[in-house]
Amino acid sequence: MSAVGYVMGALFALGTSAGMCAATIFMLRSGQPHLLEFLLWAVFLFWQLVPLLFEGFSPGLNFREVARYPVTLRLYLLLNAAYGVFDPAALTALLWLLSIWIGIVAIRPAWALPAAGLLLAFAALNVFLNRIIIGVFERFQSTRKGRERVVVVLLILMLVPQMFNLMINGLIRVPWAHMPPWTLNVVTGVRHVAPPGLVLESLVPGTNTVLVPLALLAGYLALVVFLQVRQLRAVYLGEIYAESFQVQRELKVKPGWQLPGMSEFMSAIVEKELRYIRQNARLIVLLVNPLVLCVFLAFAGSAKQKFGFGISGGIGLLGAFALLLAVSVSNLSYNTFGMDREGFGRWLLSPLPLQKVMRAKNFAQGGLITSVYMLGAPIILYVRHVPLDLVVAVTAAFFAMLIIHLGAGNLFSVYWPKRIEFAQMNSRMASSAAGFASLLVLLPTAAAIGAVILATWLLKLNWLPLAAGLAGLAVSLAVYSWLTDWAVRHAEDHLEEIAGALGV
Amino acid sequence: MAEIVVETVALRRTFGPLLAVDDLHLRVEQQQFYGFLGPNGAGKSTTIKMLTGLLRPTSGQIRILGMDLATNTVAVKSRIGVVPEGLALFERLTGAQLLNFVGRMYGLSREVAAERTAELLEFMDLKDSADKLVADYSHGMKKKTALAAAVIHGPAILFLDEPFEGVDAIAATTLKRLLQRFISHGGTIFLTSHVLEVVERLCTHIGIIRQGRLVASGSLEELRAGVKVAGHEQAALTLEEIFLQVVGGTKQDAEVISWL
Repeated sequence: MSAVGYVMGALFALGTSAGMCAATIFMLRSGQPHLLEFLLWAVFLFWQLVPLLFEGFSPGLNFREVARYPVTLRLYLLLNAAYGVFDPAALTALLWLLSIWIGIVAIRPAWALPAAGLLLAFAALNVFLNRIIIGVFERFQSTRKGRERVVVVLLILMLVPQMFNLMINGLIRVPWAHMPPWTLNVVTGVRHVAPPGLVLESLVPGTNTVLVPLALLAGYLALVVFLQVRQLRAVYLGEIYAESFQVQRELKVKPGWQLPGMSEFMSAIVEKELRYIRQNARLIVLLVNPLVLCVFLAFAGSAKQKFGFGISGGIGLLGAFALLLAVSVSNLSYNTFGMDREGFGRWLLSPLPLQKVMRAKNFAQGGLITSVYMLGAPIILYVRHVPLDLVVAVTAAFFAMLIIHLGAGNLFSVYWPKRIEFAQMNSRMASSAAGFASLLVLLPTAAAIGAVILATWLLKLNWLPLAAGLAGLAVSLAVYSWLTDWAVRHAEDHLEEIAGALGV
Repeated sequence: MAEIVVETVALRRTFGPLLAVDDLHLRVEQQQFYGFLGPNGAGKSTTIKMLTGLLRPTSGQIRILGMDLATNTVAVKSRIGVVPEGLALFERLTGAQLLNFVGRMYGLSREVAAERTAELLEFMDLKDSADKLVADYSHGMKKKTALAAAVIHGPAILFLDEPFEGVDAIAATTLKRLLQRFISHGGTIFLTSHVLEVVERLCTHIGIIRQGRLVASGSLEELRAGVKVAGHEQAALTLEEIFLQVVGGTKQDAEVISWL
C-alpha cells in the first residue's frame, strides 16, 4: 500500500471511529441501548468480509508458507493470531470497538467493566473466526480451480452493491411491507444466536437472563479457538491440498465441432474460443451482467418512471441493453490473444494467416454476444411493447456497434496485448491503454446515435432510425475490414513484442 | 546426394546493439537428426525461432524444403512441426481438445484429428490425463503434449528447442522413441539441447554455434576428425570434449571461487 493509501486508511479509521463513539452516546442518551446491536453488526461484517475482499484482490502473506519456516507450533499459532490483529481492517474494527466502549463509559460508567470484557471477547472471536475463514480461503487459493472459483464468488459479491444501488434509485422495488412473516422470524432468530446479538444481550439484559447469551458467546469463542488450532496444526504438520487427478480408464476422443457453413479450421477456432470462455467463469459473470440488469429493469415496475411510459420506455430499455452488450464485447475482443497467453505462439506456428485467426475469434465473440442479445431482447419485448421497425433499427445498430467494436478490438489487441491472469481478481481483461482508446470508438458511435435520435425527434423523421441502423451496419463492415487489415499489418511487424507481452 | 531441407544463407539477427546470430550458413539434409549446440546465449533459440517463422531475420535467407520461408510462410508452416522454447500450448484446453484442435488447424478432418489424438495420447502415456486441462499438467506432460502437437499433422521436418529440458527419464525415453521413429520414416529433425549425452546418442549431425556464428558442423565422425585434443590421440573424443574444445570457456581450478 502506498503512503497515500495509509493516510487515507488512517483517516477513514479515525473518522468512522469518531462516528461510532458519537452514535453510541446518542443511542444510550436517547434511551435506546438495543440499537447498539447495529454498530456491533457493522463491526462484525466489516471484520469478516473486508480482509477477505483484500485477500481476493491482492493476496498477502500466505500462512501456509510461514509453517515451512523453523517455528514451533505455539509460535506459529501466536504469529497467526498477531497477523490477524494487525490486519488494517482488524485494526479499524478494533478502533471502532474502543470507540463504542468509550461511548458506553461516557454515558453509563457502571457498564465500563462488563462492556470491556464482552467487547474483548467479541474482538477475540472476530480475530479467530477471520483467521479460520482466511485459512479456508488460502486452502482454496492453493489450487487453480479454487483460485478461479474464488474470483467468481468475489465478482458475484461485487454485483450485490449494484443491486442495492438500483434499489436505492427506485429501479427495483422490494416490497418490504409484503415480506412473508417467516422472514422476520428468521431474522430475529439469527439475531439471537449471532455474536453481535449475544454481546448486546449480555450487556443489556432484556427479559431473559444474561447467562444464556454469555454461555453461547463463551461457547463460540471456545469453538473458534478449537477450530483455529486444529486448522493450523494440520497446516503445520504439512497438509497438502493440491490438484488431484481422477484416473480415466478408457480413452475416447470425440471429434471436434463442425459448424454449418464453416470451414474445418474456422469451426475448430470457434470451438476453441467458446471452450476457453466457458472455462473462464469470471468472463461469464461479466457477460451475464447486462442480461441480469436487463431482466431486473424489464420487470421492475418503476423502470417505467425512469425510461418513460409505453413505447419510449420499451425502446429506451432495448436500446440501453443493446448498447451495454455491444460495449461488453470489449471484455472479449479488446485483448483477443490475452487469454491464449503463451498459446499465441501456436497461432504463429500454424499455417493460418493471422487475419483468418482474428476473424474466426471475432465470429465466436460476436456469436456469443449475439446469443445474449437474443436471450434478453425477447424478454424486453415480452414485457414492453416496441414497434417492429424500431426493433429492427435497434438490432441493426447493435450489430453495427458490435462489428465496429470487434474490428477496433483486433487493433487494440495487437497494439496493447496483455497477458490475462485467470486467478487474479485485479487482472483486467484488457490493458488500460485499450480502455482509453475505446473512447475513440465509443464517442463517435454515441454521437451518431445521439444525432439520429435528435433528428428523429426534432424533424419527426420516423423512418430515420431504421435507415440509419441499416446504413450503420453496412458502414461497420467496411470499418471492420479496414481495422482488421491494419491490425494484421501491425502484428506482422511487431510479432516479437506481442509474443513477449503475452509470455510466449 | 540427399535433398537439403533446411538451408540458411548469411542469416543475421540483431536485437538493438546485440548481435544474436551472425552470417549463419546452415545446411541440413533430409533424414538427418541435426543437433544444434552452443553455450547459453550463443543464438540457438534465436536461430530456431527464425527457422520456424516466430522471429524475422534482420537479413539473410531461409529455405525450408526448397521454399523461401519469407515468401511461402503458410506452405512452409504446414510442412513443419515445432516444439518451441515456451511450448506455446493453449493451457485452458484439455490434452485431448488441444491435440484435436491443433490437428484441425493443420487441415486434418475431424475424424482423422480425433483418431490421431487418441493414438498420440496413448503413445505418450497421457491417456489418463486426456480430459484434464493442460494448465494442470506437470512440465514433463506438457513437453510430451507439445511434441504430440508438433507431429499430429505428419510434418516433414521437426524443430525442437530443448525438448529434454526438465523431463524425467521415463518421459525422455518416450520422446526419444518417437523421434527415432520419425527419422526412420523419412523425417528430419533439427534439435537444440544442452544435454550433450542425449545429442551424442541421438544425432547423426551436429552444428555448434558460438556468439551467433557457426563454428563447427558435420557428422560426429567429421567433428572428431577435425578436433584434436592433447592426450586423446588414440581414443575417440566424446561430444562433450569436442564441444568444450570448440567453444572453450572452461575455467581452470585457480579461477574457481576461492572460498568454495
